[in-house]
Amino acid sequence: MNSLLTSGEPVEVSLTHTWRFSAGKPDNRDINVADADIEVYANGRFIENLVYDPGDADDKNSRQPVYRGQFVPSPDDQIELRAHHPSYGEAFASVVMPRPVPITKVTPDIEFTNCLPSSYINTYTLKTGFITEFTDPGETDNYYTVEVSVKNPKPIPSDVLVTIWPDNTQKYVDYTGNYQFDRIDFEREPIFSEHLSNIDHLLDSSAWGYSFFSDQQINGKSYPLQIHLIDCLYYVLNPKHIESLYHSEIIISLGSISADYYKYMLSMWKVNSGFEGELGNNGLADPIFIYSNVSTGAGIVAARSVSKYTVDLSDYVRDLPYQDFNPTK
Amino acid sequence: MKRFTLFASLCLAAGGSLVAQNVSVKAKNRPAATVFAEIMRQTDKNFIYSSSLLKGVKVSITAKNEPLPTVLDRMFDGTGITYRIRGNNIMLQGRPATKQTRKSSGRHVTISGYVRETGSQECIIGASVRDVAGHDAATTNNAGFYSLTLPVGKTSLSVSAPGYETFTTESFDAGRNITYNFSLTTIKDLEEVTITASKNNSLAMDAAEAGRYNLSQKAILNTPVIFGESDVIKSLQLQPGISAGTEGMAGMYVHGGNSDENMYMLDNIPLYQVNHFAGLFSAFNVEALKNVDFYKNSFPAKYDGRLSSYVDVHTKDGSLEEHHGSARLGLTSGAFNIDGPIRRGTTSYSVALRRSWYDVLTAPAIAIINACSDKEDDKLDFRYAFTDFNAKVSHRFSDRSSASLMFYYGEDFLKGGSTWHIPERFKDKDIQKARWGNILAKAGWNYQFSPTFFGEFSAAYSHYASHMESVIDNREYTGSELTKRYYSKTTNDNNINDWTLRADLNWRPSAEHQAILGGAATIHSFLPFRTSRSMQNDDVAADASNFTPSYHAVEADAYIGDDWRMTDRLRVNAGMHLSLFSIDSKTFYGISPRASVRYRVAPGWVAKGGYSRTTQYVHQLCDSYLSLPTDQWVPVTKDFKPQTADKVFAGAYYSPAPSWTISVEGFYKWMHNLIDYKDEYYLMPPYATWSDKLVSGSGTAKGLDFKIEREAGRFTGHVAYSLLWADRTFAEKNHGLRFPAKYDNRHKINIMANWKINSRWEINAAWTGMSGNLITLPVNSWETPVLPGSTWDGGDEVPLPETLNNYRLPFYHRLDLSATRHTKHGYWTFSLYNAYCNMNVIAVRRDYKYVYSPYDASHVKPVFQKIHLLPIIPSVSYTWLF
Repeated sequence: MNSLLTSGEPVEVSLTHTWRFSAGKPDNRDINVADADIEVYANGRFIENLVYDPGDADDKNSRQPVYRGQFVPSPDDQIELRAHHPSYGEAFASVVMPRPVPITKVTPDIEFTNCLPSSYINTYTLKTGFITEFTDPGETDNYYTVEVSVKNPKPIPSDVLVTIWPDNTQKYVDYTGNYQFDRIDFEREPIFSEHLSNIDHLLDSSAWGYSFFSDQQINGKSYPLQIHLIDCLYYVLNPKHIESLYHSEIIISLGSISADYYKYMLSMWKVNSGFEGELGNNGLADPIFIYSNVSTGAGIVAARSVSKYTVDLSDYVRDLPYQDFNPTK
Repeated sequence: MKRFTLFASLCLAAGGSLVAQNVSVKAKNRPAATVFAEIMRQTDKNFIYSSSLLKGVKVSITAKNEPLPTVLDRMFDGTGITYRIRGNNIMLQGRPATKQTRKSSGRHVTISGYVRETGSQECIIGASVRDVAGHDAATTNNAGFYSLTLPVGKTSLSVSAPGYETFTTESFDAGRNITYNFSLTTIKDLEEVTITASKNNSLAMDAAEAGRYNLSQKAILNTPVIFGESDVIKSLQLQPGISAGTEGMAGMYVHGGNSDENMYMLDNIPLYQVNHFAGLFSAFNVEALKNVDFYKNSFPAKYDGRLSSYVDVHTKDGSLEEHHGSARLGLTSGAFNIDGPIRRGTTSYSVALRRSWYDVLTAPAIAIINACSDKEDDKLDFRYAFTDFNAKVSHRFSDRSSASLMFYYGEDFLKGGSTWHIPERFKDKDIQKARWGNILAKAGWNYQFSPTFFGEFSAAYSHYASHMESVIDNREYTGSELTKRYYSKTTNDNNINDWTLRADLNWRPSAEHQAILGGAATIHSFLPFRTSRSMQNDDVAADASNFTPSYHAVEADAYIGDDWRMTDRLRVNAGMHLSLFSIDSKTFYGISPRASVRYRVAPGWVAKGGYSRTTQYVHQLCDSYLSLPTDQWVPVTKDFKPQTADKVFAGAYYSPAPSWTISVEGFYKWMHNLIDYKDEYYLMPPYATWSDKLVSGSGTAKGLDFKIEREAGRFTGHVAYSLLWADRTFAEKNHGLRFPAKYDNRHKINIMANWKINSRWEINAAWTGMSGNLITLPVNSWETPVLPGSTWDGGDEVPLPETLNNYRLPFYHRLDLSATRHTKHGYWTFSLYNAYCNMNVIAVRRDYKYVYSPYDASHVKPVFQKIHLLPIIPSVSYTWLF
């Protein structure tokens, strides 16, 4: 049983079954359990039965089957999920919704470093960093995760010609303002590697890609997270200086997560990148397993509450020098 | 026909010569040795005898072409010498003194003294001093001292020890207490002597204790091992009832116990870290030691603190007569040792150094790599080394008083990382270091209060430390100005300091009793794993620590025991060890009774039985099967009771000849308050308190050890078989269900053979076969979900946790060979580990194999892949003796 319960969003649960390793993994759809009863309880009180949504049966790579409900959990709610199936038996999990921790201040550090004009679009490289401050409540053990996402303005159709094909077909491009980045630079923020032991450092284990941390070092304190983005590019085709195209937004999300969620992600890291996993996978230590808080030992019911902070890039990009478009054949 | 007749005649002649040879010899009142030379020339046979046997013996014989046995009968008639012809050897022996019944006047006398090695005057531990007529016997203690109480009257003493010529005195009148010191000569050439001494045979057939074994330095050097590195623990692994753990490692799991349940002592002082290089080698430098006493069933009352076994390693004192030593160079390490007199006859020294030499190769190699790389590339840094250093000074004040100072230092050092420097732009450093090992210092004084009362007093300091450090320092410059800095330093520390005062007394109140009593007081200081981290990112700094406090503990021990020869058949060894351990505002008490009984059923047949209880206050927590600096030594606290074990055993022993022993021993052991990591302890926050990661439980073990051993002669060795069941139960492991111990090797067979071909060549072979170790093998899978926030997108197949140790690896077997070639100045050792290259399976893991199938688009097939570790490994070393 798997679920990421998010404050302010309806409950969704996926239910799958285990299989014998030697038999080989069945198709994704074949491991889903479709006809189970899943009950939702909040603070000890029954709320609802979830409804099965089969997803897109024709496209196995698209929307996956889930059980959906109407209930929207709030911070401090204790949520219990109970699944029953006549053949597979029962699965149970319980989690407390954490309280969101607000982002108190974001100080952008944005610097355009270069412009690569092409035949029809200007591409800027830039350094993007944010000092993101928050204050750990300090009352209990708290766990966090960080995400960065981008929201770009909708492109506007244009009459700007890009190429004319030999058969005289013409292709027009849209006016656009588009910010992209590859990933967070995890090595620039030491708290992302707090879980590395000395042996992990010795074996050059990497914390790359791991954005989960605890409050062990910052308990009750304000802390400025150094969030730096790698391979940042800004594409712009806006010869008419359309204002809406400047409003690309970078959204910083600070997730306050449940302890089970933290342990689950930590176990994933340990199994795949940590020295315990390295030794265990090679018979030099007991094997370590992915953490589960579900009664069956398989699955994770995680909880989070998210605070977001949006940085509008318009003030940074509006006055960028722009090279006019030259159509080519 | 003619050819056949000739052939048959030759066979008969050859056969005849094997059955009976004729000799001709004429001598009148000549020394026996000169007559032997003539007989040897005529027959190609060798005489084997103790040089003391023929002292002053002269023979007269006239024989012409007479059978050899007839000539020998006439030659030895009236001399008290007997002989046996075996193959090409004629073995001579003194006729045993007829057992005389002494007329007891009720008075006894005590004969005491020291047994030392001729030349070096090194004391010999465990030598047997026996009254030939009455068969009473005593054994020398750690100082080489013995005390024998006999009825007043004529007696003759026989002194023996493995590796030494047996010495038998003339008959003398024991009318008062006397001091009688003996010097035994080492066996240089088997041609010269008859071996009658067999230490372990004596322990099996005479002592009340069971499961006690003595390993000589020679026996350790003759055990073939990986890389040719002689190893105390790997020699003990060939004994029944001992599991080795991971292949190639110096692990020791005795009778189903854990590795931290063995107490290793250097001259009676406990050592904590006994491994180097992740457990590949033990920390005992064989060049520096005399012998090793090992106990696995019966434990003398003086020993407590561990549940499974006691290993007492005795180091050399040094020669009082002349300087000598050795230098060895092998594939993995080199060793140098020297000992000799500081003041001839009274003061001696012994120094031994062993060090790995990988860094001698890696340091220049890395320097070359760094020099050849571009200026803007990372510069590598790597070094690994291990060191053992032993030093001892011994002084003899008088025949009654002696003292010694002993020092040991052993360490592993590992460093790795890189630096990167572009002037006025970047300067990065990423360096990790680890250092772990022991320091041990001891001052000891021995004093003979009276012929029956001997004391050993010592003060010692034992230190274990493990320190790991990781430093990352990344700096950005604009010109000479520092613009950005990211700094992180993480340290882990674990250490123990012990200060000990100890007194051990031996008292022989009568011929039937040998008592031991004594005590010790120890102040412990423990620092269980303390983790600290400092980090700085530009102007932001943060520090974190698990704030593990140091623990101070006081331990007091007292013991008393008696070895009582109740009758000729019945012997009892019983004792009591009391202990007190005060820590963390709580005091724990340990009461550990011991009792062993030996009953001589018939000549050459002995039965034993007994019980022992042991208490352990200090534990080692390991998160792998290797010996790593992350292994922590922790004390009991108010949250965890001391570990205890109760063990019962019984055994039968048969000795068809003095150097042959056949034994079978059975045991059952109950273990309580065992401590281990709980499930998923590794998911606790990095700075969680160490005790929060632990759980307490229990275990049982039962089994049978069977052994046939020959200890003396040109061909020695043993065949051992053991049967074992061992299990564990912890409330917070394996859902509270009982599970088998990892090293529950159900069947284990060891065959050890040593063959001294001649004075130049020796060959050794050791074959090990055992049921495989147990592992946890998950057989079911589930799929991880897609959750945001990490690079793991979900949809991965991961194993479902299984019952612990649910799968047994295939049968393990391996043959190790070694050969020693003695030269004029030393010897070569050639060894072959895993001689027939059986790639044993050390683990099984889940994996996928790509196979083509037109019906399966994924083209992968799940498989359980076997992991192998060590192939055939040849090695060579040379030891130069001076």
